[in-house]
Amino acid sequence: MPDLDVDRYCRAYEAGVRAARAELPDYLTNNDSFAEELRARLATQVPEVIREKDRTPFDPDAARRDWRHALQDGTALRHGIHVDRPHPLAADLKDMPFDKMARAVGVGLTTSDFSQILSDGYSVVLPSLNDSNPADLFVRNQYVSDYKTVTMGTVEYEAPAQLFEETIPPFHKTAHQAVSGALLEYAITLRLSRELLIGDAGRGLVDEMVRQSVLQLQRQDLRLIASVLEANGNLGDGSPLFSTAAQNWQGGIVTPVSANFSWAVEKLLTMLTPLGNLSCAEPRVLMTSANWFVPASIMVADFSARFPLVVACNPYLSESSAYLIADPNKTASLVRLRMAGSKGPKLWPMNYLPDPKTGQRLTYAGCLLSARYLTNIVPVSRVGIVKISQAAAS
Amino acid sequence: MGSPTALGPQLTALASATGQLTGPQIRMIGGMLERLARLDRRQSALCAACRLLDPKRELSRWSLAIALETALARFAAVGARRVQSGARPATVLEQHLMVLLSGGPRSAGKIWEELRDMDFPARR
Repeated sequence: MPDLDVDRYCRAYEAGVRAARAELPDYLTNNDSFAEELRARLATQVPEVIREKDRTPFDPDAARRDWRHALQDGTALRHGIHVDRPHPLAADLKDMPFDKMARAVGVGLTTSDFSQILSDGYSVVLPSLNDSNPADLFVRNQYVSDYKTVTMGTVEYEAPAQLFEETIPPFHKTAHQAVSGALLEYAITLRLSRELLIGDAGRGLVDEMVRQSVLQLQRQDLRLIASVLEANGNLGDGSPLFSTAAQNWQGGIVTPVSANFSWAVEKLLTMLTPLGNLSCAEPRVLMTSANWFVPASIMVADFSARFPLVVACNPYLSESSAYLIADPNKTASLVRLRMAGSKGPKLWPMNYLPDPKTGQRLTYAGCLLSARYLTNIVPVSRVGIVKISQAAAS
Repeated sequence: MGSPTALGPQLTALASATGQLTGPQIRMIGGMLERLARLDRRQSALCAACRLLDPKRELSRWSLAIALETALARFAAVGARRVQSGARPATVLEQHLMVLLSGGPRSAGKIWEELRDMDFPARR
């Protein structure tokens, strides 16, 4: 005879068929001796009711996973992000205060579980913020899998040779410049106090805290770009990135005019590679310091109809300098290192607040999040970038 | 309530043994047990299908409901007819999908409500 799990029948009876139960006469449902007798008979006489034992182990995380999903969708909807099929509870959670959320999920406001849930919730908002990183215009992304130093470079081939019938394809010279770099990690700690998390006003403030922390971390790319370009370090061939000898730096310019721009475009297109090829790098972005943003925009106004050129300001550049940059995906001069699978800053839950002096773990009456960004900017080639500045060229 | 069922004779025997149930009450209990059996078959199939679709238990109930809806729609479109006609044997998942297709809701929203009401898989 099949194994009959009477307990399971009882559970199904209690959980699933309340409507049918309501239709039963009171004396039947309240008569314990009858119910026991019925169960006993069912166990031997009606085996087809339930056959298998449920061997599923208890999974306490199922409800929590579902709440997390609902919170993610709710947070996305709150920020105007399209969700293909939002969770049925997402609309209700859109404006729910954090303390009510925590109560619904069944976790404490100051626990690391709640930090995890919050970081999961906001993780859906980060991609839309990361899409607006201004540094994307200037760099090519190179994905790495760890913090180790990686070696990159520009590989170049000699000009191709024409093949004739029955000729052997010639060997071609190659040249490369090797440069190396490693990921750097930047972080901002978000301290969400208990008072902030309780009540209706806190949600909007936390939204803004997350947004600003992510934007601040993204600006780190601009800082790194400015510092790398201003440092003018040596490339793999031992020569600096910009120099008069390489003819990619024009100094002594008080205000940029069309002639300077024409010179920069010509140099960008006709710059010679180590094997003597023309770079053929079409200008795509003009990155300027803040004080040259308007003059540079006026300078290229006549050319903007001829080819697509973006004038972008990097306020971290030193005064009175501008860089004409080719399309980084075709002729990369600056490479941005990124962790594989990452597209920008991420949020991490924090269990404790480290003392900045001693490193001791401090308790905090609230929720701790850490916005972190793994990035680094590495100059890989002088082909594809030209500098004009007020400072004299060296 | 439900009409007399296969359980009727057994319940009649039970009633005669206890001497407490009338004919209509027996029919009512029979119908209830039929519904219980259907509900249990569906719940067992739901549990098993969820276990097959998410063996590592990483999906939320809503993701599972969407996955089930998609699997049901895909299977109902072609596979179910081929299995029913004997053209090919059903896989383990398809056996459970057949039970789900035999009655009850197929939309993700309703399946999610079922999973939530079952508290799957957090059965105590």
